[in-house]
Amino acid sequence: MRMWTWEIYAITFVLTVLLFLSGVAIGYYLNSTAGNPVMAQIESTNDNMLNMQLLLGSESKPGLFCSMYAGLSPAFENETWNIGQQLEYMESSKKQFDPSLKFKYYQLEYRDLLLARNSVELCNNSMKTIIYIYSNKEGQCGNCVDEGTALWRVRNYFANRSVKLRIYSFDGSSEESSIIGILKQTYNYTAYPTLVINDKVYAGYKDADAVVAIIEKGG
Amino acid sequence: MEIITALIYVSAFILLYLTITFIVLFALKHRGVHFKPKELADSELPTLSVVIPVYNEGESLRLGLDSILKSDYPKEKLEIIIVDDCSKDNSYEIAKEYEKYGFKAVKKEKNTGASDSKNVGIGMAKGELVATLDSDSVVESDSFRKLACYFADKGVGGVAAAIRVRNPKNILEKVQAFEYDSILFLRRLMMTVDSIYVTPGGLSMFRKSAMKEIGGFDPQSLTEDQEVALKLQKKGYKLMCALDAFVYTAAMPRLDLLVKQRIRWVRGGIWNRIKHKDLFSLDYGDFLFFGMMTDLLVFIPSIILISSILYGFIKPQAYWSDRIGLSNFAYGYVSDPIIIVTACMVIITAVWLMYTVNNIRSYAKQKPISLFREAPEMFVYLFVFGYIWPYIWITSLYMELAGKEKKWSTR
Repeated sequence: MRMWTWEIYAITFVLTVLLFLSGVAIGYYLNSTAGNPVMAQIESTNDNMLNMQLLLGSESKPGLFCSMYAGLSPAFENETWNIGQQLEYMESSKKQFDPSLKFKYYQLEYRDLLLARNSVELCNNSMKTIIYIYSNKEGQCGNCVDEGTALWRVRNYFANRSVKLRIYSFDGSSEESSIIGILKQTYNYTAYPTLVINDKVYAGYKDADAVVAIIEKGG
Repeated sequence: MEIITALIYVSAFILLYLTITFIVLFALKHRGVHFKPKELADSELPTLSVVIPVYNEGESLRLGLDSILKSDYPKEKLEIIIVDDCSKDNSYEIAKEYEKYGFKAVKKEKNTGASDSKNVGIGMAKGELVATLDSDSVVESDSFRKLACYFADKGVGGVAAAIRVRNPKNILEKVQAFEYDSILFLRRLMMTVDSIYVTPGGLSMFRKSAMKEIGGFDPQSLTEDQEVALKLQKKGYKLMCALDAFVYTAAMPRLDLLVKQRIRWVRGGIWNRIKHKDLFSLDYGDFLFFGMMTDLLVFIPSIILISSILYGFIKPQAYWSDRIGLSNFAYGYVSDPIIIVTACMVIITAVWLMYTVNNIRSYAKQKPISLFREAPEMFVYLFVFGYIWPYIWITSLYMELAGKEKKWSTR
């Protein structure tokens, strides 16, 4: 029988556990604060949109609003899109769901949607909008991942074209947000995914080509 | 927690444990690492036979043979036996040229492999000690003497020399130079818990009576230098490793050759362990963990962790892409617990690598690692080299289980 130097294995085990748990604890702490920069981003974008809405309400000459909106609109879209991506990442990968963040994000999206629609009336531009209503609840939406991918393609397709497109996604099964309540009342959707393309409701999955065709036909 | 996430956490824990084990071992046994045997006077040195198996070495054979001529081992106690394995080139003729210095050149009738050549040489050897030396290895003048001093302890059955890379030129060779030095230090560390499981073919010395007792080298093994060490361990002989008896060998200059070499090593390792499965017993103490288990324990966790990292880069939505993908660097989310644990491992490995390599360099009277000049090879060693291993293991395992032909095509 040869010797076992047990202290090697015991000390190593204690050190490994300490180091591993420290790493895990630091990771979780950093994760728990990960929402703070997202909230700051939401608030900053929200302020800018609010200013734009105020200008729109008070300005007697819409033309001034239109040129300003044309300049700021791409930034609104990018910021909203990025915030959406970060929230999705936090929810899907980190399993972190923050209802207050989600609520603020839906408000932001809805505000941008209203601005986009107002701009069509006031500025006579060719802005098209898609509202993508999905569900995160298990078993409710088998095609939502595919629909998300299809809309990502549609967004890229229109990125360098004259038709300007805005896509807004909402979790239709979410009960925390009053914005979802408004969407339910307005569009009376029952299936997931549901697309609202320029105010017309399309229930069920649509691939990228189908969505592009609807938009190009004038929605 | 999803199964894949749980597997990644468990793998990270096991790898972290193994990384720390060697540091703890060093902390507890550092005195043993720097142990030196008593120097022996010429009259006290035992007789030594050096066996050099040769196959198609050509002119490079002269490098090794010339280095032996400069050895300070007493000439009357030194016997050199060159065994040619039916080379197709002029290796045998070159070996014959050295007969004028007292070397013996033998040509086998059939090509039967390096292990058999070593056995033929050992069968002819007259020395109390036998050393096996690769034909392209260049020994330092005092290496034989330093190795022989360990045999003053009657329990010692074999001693591994300090194998280093000769004149590393390209980045692959330089990375292997790091690896050889670090492994040399680890081997020495394992010596402190009687767990050496390989006496490298580059240069190792054995007590001839021990070699006779275990029946010499096994020609069936692709890594006979490991197989012989396992047999000596089983018989209860002490195996040692000299940190300062240097021998210089050629590293693999190309990736394909390196992969072939490593597949041969791993296949040999699997075969040897199956042959000596009785060593997987608690009765063998620390040798069970350090000699038989560590590389097996590294195997599966490395495959899980490294595969998930690579998969994450290739396919979006996979576990790791969310954690280390570029988009998440942009989001500032490099805070996943497993990333922090992995980063800890990389930092520990980097510090450990520098410490071990610098130790060997100080023995070899070389300058320590220059972080500025040697940054590329450090980077490749830490972030690229390790990624190759799990796939070498998988390929080797497949080849061994499928009974693929065994070829000793690389050293």
